[in-house]
Amino acid sequence: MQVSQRPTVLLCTEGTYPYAGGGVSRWCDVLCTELADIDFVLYALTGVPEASARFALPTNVRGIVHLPLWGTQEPGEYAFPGATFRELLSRRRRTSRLAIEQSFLPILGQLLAAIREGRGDVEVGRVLHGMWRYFQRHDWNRTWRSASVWEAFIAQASRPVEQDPAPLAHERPHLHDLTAALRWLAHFLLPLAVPIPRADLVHTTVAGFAALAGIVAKHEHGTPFVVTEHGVFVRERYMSLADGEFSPFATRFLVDLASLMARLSYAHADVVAPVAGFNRRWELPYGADPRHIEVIYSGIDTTLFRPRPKPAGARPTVVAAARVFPLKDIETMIRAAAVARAAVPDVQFIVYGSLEVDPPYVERCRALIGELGLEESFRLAGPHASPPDLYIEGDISVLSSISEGVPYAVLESLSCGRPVVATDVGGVAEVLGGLGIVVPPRNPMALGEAVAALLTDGELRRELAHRGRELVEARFRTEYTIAAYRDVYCRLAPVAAEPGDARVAATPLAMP
Amino acid sequence: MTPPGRRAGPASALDALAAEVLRDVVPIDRWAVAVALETRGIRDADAVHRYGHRDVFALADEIHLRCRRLLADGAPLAGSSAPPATGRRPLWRQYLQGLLAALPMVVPLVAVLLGLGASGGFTDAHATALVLGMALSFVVAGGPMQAIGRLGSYYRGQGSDVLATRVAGGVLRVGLALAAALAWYGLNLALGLFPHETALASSLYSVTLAVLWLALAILHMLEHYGLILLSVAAWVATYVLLAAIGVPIVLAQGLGIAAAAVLALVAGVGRLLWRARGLDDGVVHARLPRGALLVRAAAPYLAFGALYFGFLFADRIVGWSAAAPPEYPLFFRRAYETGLSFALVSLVPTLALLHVTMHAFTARCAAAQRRFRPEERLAHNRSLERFYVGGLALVSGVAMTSVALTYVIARELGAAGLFGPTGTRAASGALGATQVLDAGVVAPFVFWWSALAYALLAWGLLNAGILFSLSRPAPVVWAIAAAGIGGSAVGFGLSRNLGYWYSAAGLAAGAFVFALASAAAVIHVLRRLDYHLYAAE
Repeated sequence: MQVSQRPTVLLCTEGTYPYAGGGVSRWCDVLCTELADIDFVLYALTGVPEASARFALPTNVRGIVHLPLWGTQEPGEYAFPGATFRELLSRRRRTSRLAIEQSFLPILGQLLAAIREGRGDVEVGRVLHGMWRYFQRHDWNRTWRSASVWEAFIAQASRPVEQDPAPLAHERPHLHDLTAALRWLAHFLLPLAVPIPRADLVHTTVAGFAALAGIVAKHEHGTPFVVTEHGVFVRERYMSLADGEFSPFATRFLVDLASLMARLSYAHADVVAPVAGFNRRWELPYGADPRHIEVIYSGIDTTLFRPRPKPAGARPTVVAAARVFPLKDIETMIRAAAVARAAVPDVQFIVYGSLEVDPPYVERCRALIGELGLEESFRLAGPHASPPDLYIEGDISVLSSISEGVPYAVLESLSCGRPVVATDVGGVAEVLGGLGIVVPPRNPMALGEAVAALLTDGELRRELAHRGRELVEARFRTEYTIAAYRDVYCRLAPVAAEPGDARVAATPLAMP
Repeated sequence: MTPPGRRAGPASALDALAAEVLRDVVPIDRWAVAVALETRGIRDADAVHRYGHRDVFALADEIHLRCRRLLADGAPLAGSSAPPATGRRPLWRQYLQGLLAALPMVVPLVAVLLGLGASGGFTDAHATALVLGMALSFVVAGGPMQAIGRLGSYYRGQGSDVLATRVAGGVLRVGLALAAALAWYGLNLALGLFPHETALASSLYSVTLAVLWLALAILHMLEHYGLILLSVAAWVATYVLLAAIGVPIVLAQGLGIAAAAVLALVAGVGRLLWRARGLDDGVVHARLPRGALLVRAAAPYLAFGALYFGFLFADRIVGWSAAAPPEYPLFFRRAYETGLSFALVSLVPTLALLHVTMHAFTARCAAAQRRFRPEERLAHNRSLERFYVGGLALVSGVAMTSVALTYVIARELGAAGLFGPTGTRAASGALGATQVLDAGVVAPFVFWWSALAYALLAWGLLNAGILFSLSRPAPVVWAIAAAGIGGSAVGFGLSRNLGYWYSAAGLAAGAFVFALASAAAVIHVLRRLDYHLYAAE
């Protein structure tokens, strides 16, 4: 049934591998590199076209479909340069007003209804599959920018919502909100504009818009579908949108879209693989089937991250591996440093991580450092050239995030024999298992005191360092992660299995 | 939501928590509140022990309801969903930028007038060469100029500086190739029609000017207005300096243009390369659409650029060919050019105003979209129709004032002898027409008719700006094509029967067609502005 003996996995990313750094990208890099006997095709969503590859791709990565959601005049053409000019023109020609009204508007109506009603089941997946089929023959811009689509959207949005409790005045949309909302929809659904590369399995690293490729492939070819979740997509969308940057209506529309994608991802997944059990509490209410959830922890290269002595003569040092942006709550870390300094006067904190993510936030942090007189004790040092050496520079490491999946920083630190003081968020307490100190988030006093306590108790530090390393070796080695995914791939895409293995077919979609 | 018997949570603590949540986030729904609680460090254990709820989600339900109650009672929302500060420049700066953008177009014409007034051996044959060269340069460079502005701004607006740079560089190369072709074919063509010196001068003028326009378009796209001013200054300075040391005027003119072109090109290309180098570092995946699609997207703007400048110079071609000396197919008309140039000068303040008006229109659209509800679409569209009419009135007012002022100033300057003593210059001029506006028939006639034409043109350009900003270029292209054809036909008929200078009336007729046809398109679009604002690129 399959020609190739090397299975092909379509690996879907959103704003990460191979165009950005960070934990998810490194995770993808390890996966592709270590599973050398499996071919990968990358399906990478980014914000704008200007993306540079941050990783040297291994040879088993056979291709990249790069799909920028913004900044392309001809979005379909961008991701699929194979189409001939004539084909593109005939798509335009086919996209008549009649075609839009007869073939597209009914699909759009069903999708908008699903968004409003908070549905995201297989039935809705079928609607999106229908939309994808439509766009394999019709022009994207012409369809979305037609007056018929705008009228249909306005009509739908102006219909009174049966919402309990009734919407408040500020939740009713202005024209601006609807304009932005429909444009967003046309941009976020862009994966529906392009052909999906054939693969034996689709694996998305996020239950977001990149998952559209897997949902369509499942309906079109019955391709098995795996969802890995680092941070929970919908939860992180809530977090990034909650600050009131957009109007309430626009915010609601965006989180509704995110919820739609999360529900659809879980509903179509053969395996949902969160990186920590913590994620379950969000995945289950959004419709993930508990029988499909398999926690697969992210592993650490324990030969690279190994305990070595701290350089002699250095001050008591606390290191942190964190890009400087609000989710990492560096401000709390700075205040905690002031608390810790009271007990350990020559303590120094060094934060290694990009300062480019949110420059205004970095400025705020710098101002706070100045305000608290911490210039000699707290350094924002930018990215570190060699992550394994980063932890070695410290006595302990610290994590002040307000949200995490399972932070690499914690596991890497333990692997290097450096105990951790971390906030009790996401999967942190779950993986630490008592081998570190966890404190409530956004609590500089607790964080600072814990740091000071650990710095002044050498025996506790040595004890935690030893047992932390043991823990990582026993449960969080890269090899375990890779083996788990190889197992998932083999189970779902039988071509990946060795001859003679028991083959389990991918869960077929229930087609009522 | 809360299990019975667990309502132990102290109401005041819950209200305090709700108020805290409300300060940080917009409580869209229970999930948003749950996230807010989690990021405040509240865990399931805290929900149970401190607030008496089953878990964070149950607590979130409760807090969400309380938040809504607080909002209904008038509590303010977190953040600001107010329009973001757009960093709008003050009006006078916008106006100055508009002036700078319009300035380069006027300088060569003023130079012709001044050249005729100076005593540097600048003949009407030279003037013919210069004006024809200018017309050709605009027609050749006009399309690429529009395309640079359009595509470049699109990609800059999308945050893709690399692509903006690449597309501008690409169009620039195409434009320069066109200019080179013009140099070759234009020269060969001109050699057949004109005496050698005129042909050569005309050809060189057209090429250097085309290069200058393209380079200025790049600077304009990059919003380096200072460099535009600098290159115009270099032009004037070179000219004045060379003329002062006795270099023939026609050569001083050419070298002035060349200096400006080189400066603008080096500056523009330098900025492009610098940006590309800074941004291209490691960028592997930014790609423009294939050429065919780009050309297709830019086609209306390319066409508009060429047609617009073709229209602007058509009346001269029509008029000057009506009464040329036998050895020339067409010949410079001093009185005609005088009238036309002063009319064009009177257009500059109006063109600068258009720059401001377009900014205001965009800002007004953004504000109106945030004020009107979907069910008030018609009111929204009507409010912007009113704004358009107001803008039109303002443009007309400024245009009329500017024309009147220009007339008065030109008359005073003429009387003061700036353009040379009327009698002797007229005698040495080809056909003896006068150069001041209040004497003779031709100059005043041309001034008033072309001033009317340019005022109508300003209206048309206002329409074009609105339609371009809404990505509806097609009607503008049709309107300017109709204007060119209609205006030339009217001008041809009149100039062959009533006097060559009647081609200025043709210009006015064409401008009338342009203004009216584009205004009809604008009204059509404004009636459904809510849709067009959505559909614009």
